[in-house]
Amino acid sequence: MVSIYLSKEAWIRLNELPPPDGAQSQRERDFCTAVVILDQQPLTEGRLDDVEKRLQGLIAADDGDEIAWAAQYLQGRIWQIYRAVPDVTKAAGSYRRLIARADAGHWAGLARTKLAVLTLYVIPAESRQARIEAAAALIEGTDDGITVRDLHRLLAGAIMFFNLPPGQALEHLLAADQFGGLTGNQGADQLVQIAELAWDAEQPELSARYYERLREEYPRDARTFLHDQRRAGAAVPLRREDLNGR
Amino acid sequence: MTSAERVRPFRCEGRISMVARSPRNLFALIVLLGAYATAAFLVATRPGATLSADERTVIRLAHWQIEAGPREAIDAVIARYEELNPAVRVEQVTVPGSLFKQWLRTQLIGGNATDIIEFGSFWGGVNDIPPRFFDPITREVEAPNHYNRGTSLEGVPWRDTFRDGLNTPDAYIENLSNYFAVTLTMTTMRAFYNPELLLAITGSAKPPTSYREVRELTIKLADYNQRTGQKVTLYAGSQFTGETLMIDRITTYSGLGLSMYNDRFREQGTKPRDSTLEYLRGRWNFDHPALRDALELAREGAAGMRPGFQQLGREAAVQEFMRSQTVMIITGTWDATSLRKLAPFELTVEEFPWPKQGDGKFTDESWGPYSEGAGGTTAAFYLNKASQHKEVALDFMRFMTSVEGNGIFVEKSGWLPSVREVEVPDYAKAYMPHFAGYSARLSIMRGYGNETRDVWSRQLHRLISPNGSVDSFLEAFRPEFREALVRDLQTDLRNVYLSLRRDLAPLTALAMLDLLEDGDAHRESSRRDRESSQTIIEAKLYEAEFVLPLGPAMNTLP
Repeated sequence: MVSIYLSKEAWIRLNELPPPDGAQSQRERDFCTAVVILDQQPLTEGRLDDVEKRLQGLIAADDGDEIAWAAQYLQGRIWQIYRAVPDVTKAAGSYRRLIARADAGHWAGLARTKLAVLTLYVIPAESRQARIEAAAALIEGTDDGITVRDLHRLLAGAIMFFNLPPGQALEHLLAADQFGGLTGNQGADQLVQIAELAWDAEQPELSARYYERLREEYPRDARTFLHDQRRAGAAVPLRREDLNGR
Repeated sequence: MTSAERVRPFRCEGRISMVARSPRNLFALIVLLGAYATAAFLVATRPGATLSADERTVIRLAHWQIEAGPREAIDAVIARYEELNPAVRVEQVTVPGSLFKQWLRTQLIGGNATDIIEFGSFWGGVNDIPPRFFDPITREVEAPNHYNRGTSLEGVPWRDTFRDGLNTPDAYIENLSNYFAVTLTMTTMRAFYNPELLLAITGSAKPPTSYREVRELTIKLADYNQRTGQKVTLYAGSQFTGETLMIDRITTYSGLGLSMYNDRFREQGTKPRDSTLEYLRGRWNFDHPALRDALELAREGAAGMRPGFQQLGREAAVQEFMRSQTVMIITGTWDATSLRKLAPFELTVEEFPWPKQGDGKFTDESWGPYSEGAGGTTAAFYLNKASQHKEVALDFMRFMTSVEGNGIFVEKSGWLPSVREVEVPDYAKAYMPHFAGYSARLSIMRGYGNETRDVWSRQLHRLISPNGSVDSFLEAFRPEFREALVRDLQTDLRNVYLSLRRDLAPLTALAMLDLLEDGDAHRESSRRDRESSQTIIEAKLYEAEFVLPLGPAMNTLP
């Protein structure tokens, strides 16, 4: 029910269940209760305290199971995006603990990308480049394809945001493209980004190759028009020089 | 006994005796009782009801397309469906768009809603409705539509028979990872001309093919008005057709060059939030030549409408066109059939020739042509979770969106098809979206949010009134715009936080389900897509929070 946003109904059903019949059952019930409360409105600081207490109990009694890891992840999310005054230091600590667990699987992968976001934009750093390097270090140590791809995408976005040389962003997006798997607007946007970064990096053949992929994989995306205009030698709107455009 | 109880019998008797004393009142009472009895009889004996002799299964469909065309077309689709399925009766319920949202919620909560329901997430504040009241149809749309047997779409998954593959937010609801609806049509924006007026004004009934020709038409129109003493306008004016459609479109297209100029993320144009951040970084302002030109063109466009058009409703513009008081009306193709039926002349439909480079003054920054995309489909119909006849309702949805069913709809409504292989009638070919061109990703007027939109609305008169000018508009607009933009950004960020919070519990639940129930690869892949997307959304959120306190200091960061 929670998975399809019927949290009120889930709350009613949860309260109608018979008492748990063992420690493991109690543990599952506590986890479910924490997740369902997290989805109730109004979500007051008092309710968040309640959820946190339950999660901390689950983390403390670490059985090395999915519930413990998920609880650790949710703990980080509460500090990061739920509290009226976020505590990113605590959130980052929670993610780091999860990443340090070799067996935390999916939850560690998620924690890795969330920590990368905080590293790139929130945790203080000496310079823009230092942010990129610290986040890039998170690629090491995971072999989950989607996590690696998303880390490359995050890095490329931050490089463009901080106006660092576009060649770096291009490398990360090409690495993300190696894994693939993006669909819809995200997939089409990434092909256009690679094509445009390649154009800025004076690699017109690479740019053309990605625009042709856009035409083939997303025939309903009209952004191939710019590429066609360039090929025809027509004038096209330009990016600002300081964004390393031509 | 309370005083009220003591009084009641007396008051009641008094009323009856009063009725009895007046034959007119007695007659009224009989008519009232008769009407009640008739209504009760009709309700109890209508097809599908307890006392009905009609044993057919009854399904009902509700929508708000009360323009001329769709109702009659859906009637024709129903007639053919009932011919093919004599054991089923389909009823159509139409409710005006202005009431539909409230009506639907009441019906859904009361358990009286129809089996098939038109619905649109663009209403806002209705995100709870699909998961609560509608059934997902993902499994069904992955299978072929049996009504397409014998056509070129035989064996093709139902989803892929639509022109956009149902890749529209109303059919596929991203955060629910499911298809929920099928669509009926496509819409575009077009200029509908009065050729008789064109002939009288220019000597030719041919509409202009470039903005330069629109300008020539403006000069000829002024001359015509002077000669004849008439006050014919160039464009039908109203708040909707004038401000929402025309001026917004002109500023959007003319601002395209600026959007490309600020394309930091290499996506071919900036999205609204990225454009806001570039503004806060001090990378653009309204003195940019592209925007000054856009404002001049907006002023020129407004001069082609009758004074005070901003105060008029959409129907006033339609009447102006019908009375031959204007050369053209720019509106959506949803109005096409109404205009065709009501106009006392044979109208001409064309894509409006928006300003492009080479069209004269103020067009140096106008990068055209503009793409209208490949035609997203719309008018989405959902399956009510509480329907007593889900299989029958789904079957009708299949027919309605089959080559035959959608063909009937197109033929009778005059609207565009949503289904591939359905032939577009000759007269409707002009409604088809124009694909090749630049994609505008940002409306400078309406794209940032309510606060900036409000500043535009309040100050626009300084630009478009006869005594207005770009400078007097900007003088009043500039000081208000930045603050409004920041408020819009803050609202946007609050919404992102809410959305991230709203998705966390469902995504956690899905992750646990995927661990416990091995095997639903589609669900797992959809969840991982959503998790990835959430991470990128989160990064964009922090970009905004990074820029907000720094502003132009962003440009000198170590």
